[in-house]
Order: sequence, then C-alpha cells, then structure tokens
Amino acid sequence: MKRKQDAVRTARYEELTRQYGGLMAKVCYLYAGPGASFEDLYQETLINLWLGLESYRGEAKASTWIYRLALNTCITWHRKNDRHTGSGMTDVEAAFGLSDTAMDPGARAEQLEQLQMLHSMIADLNPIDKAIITLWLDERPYEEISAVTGLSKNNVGVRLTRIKNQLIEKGKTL
Amino acid sequence: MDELTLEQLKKSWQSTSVSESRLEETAERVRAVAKKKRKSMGIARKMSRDYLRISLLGVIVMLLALPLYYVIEAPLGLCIFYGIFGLIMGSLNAVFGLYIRNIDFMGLPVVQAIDKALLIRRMQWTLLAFGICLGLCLLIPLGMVFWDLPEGRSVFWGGVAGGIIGLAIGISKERKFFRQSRALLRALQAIKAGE
Repeated sequence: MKRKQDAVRTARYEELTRQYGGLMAKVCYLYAGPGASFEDLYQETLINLWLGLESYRGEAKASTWIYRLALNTCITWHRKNDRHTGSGMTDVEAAFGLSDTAMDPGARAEQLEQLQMLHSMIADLNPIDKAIITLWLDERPYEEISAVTGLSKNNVGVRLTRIKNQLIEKGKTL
Repeated sequence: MDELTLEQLKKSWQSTSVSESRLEETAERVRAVAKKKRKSMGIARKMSRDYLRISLLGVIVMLLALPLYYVIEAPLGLCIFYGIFGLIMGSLNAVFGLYIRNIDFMGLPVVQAIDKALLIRRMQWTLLAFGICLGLCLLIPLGMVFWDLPEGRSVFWGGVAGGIIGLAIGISKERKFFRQSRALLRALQAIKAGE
C-alpha cells in the first residue's frame, strides 16, 4: 500500500517538475538573484513540493498550487536569509541554460544582462509585491494572482499599477 | 525606462530558456534525498512519541508519593523527594521528547541534521546518567526505610521485587531509545555518504 502511494507520489512529482520546473526556477531566481545561492532555494522549493504532494488533493489548479508553493518557499527563505551570500551566477547560468556552449555568446550575454537587470529592479520590492510582479511577468490572469497571493482582484490591480510605476522609476536610475 | 520597456523586459523574461536536463537532474537528486530524510523524520517522530509517553510515568511516580506517606508512613522529606524525582524525570523526558519533535530533519542540511542526531545521543546519555544518580539517591534511603518497617521484611522484599521489574522495563525502554537514535544517525549518515 505504502509502496504504491510512494510510486504515485514519485510519478506526480516527476510530472510536476517536468512541467513546472522552469517556472519554479524562474521564481527562485527572482528571489535569490545572482548574488545568492539560487540552487539552495530551488532545492528547498523542490523539497517543499515533495512534502506538499502528500497533502495536495488537486483542489487548486496545478499551476496555481505550484506558484503558491514556490512563492511561499521564496518568501520564507527571503525572510530567513536577508543578507544571504552564495555561489554567484554559476548555478543560475547552468540552470537557465546560459552556460550552454552551443548558445550564441552575444545572445547569452544579453539574456544574462536582462536577467540581472530584472533582478536588480525588483530587488527592493517587499516579498508580496515581488510575488505579484513575478506572476505578472509570467502573464498570469488577475484571478490566479489573487488565488496565489490571497489578495482581492481589485487589490492586485491597484498594487500592480503601483509596482510598475515603482519599477519604471527604479529603471531610470539603473 | 517606460511602460514599453517594462513590457519588453516581460517578453524577454518569458522567452528566457531553462535548461530542463539540469533542472530534472536537481529534481531527481532532491527527491531521493527527501525520501531518505522522510525516513529519518519518521524515526525521530517515533522516538519523540515514546519519550512523551514515558514522561507520563513521572506523574505516576509523583502520585505514588501519597501512599508512601499515608500508608507506609515513610518520612515526609523522603516522600517529597520521591514526588520531586517523578516530577523532574517526567518533565525532562517530556521536554526532551518535544525537543526531538521540533527538529525539522527534512528542512535541515544533512550535516546539521547529523549534528542534531549526535546531540540527541549525547543528551540521551546525560539523561540516563542523571536518572540513575537521582534514582540511587532515592532508592538507598527508601530501602533503609523499608528494611526498618515494623511489619517485617515482606515490604522490603516486595520493594526489591518491584525494583527489579522496574529495572528490567527501564533497561528495555532505554535500549529501545538508544536503538532509535542510532538508527536515526545511521539514516542521516547514509544520506551524507550518498551525496
């Protein structure tokens, strides 16, 4: 019985990591950034995914549930590791395929620069605003942002406008 | 920077490729470790439950101080010491059980989890040594009181028989606790060896 449950859980875990691994990695990047241990945060998110599968009954849409899980892990991690220092860009480059030697060096440098710029722009946001902008970057509908963050749709709209203005201002100084 | 640049950044973000093979490799490694850590967590939970259960014995020992005073008419000081012994041992076992329960073996890095398991073993030895010392301080005067009872030696020998049975149960329980902590340590060391 237990073995069967484990097999089902493993299959579900593999399916979700295949489908949403990239999404989780991107969310982790936005919180960990190039100066922090991206790999640690990504692993912590995966551990929580594995643990969470025990209680996940499919009440929420898989993507919503994954976002919520990843963002909760990142927010908790962010609070615990405010001054975290880690292994630099290496983990991120590898995870995002930027260390792929077949990739055009120009494109690689540009992508890396944009990743860093994005991270610098949102670095000063509070964890909840960071979660909202992360979901917006992935073009999630307001309903889903509201379901993930627990804020009302109106509140999401208002905060998003304010965050975007903040980012535009910040972008001018970069 | 304006709204348009922000939208461009968003598009660029969406088109950022992610190395699937690298992520899958990490996911597989995490799953294997999580499964093993879950086993450690199971051992720790069981050990914590057993310590919490055994802490209830402390309450029974405390209550036994009453018949010791009113029925056997042992000296008041000795009866208070007997009650305090139950209270201390019960509390220490309960605190230790709760301490083990609150350790997040799943979330801790393996090296730190091993440190915690080693600390648990050291604390087990300390608790055992403390319990034996305190128990001997109690049993010797208690034996003397029983020996001198006017009812004869039957109470004394009854006490000795009770002590032997209690000792046998205690030894088997302690062996179980040490077996559990050893299993916990080995499970964690196996994870570290596999990393």
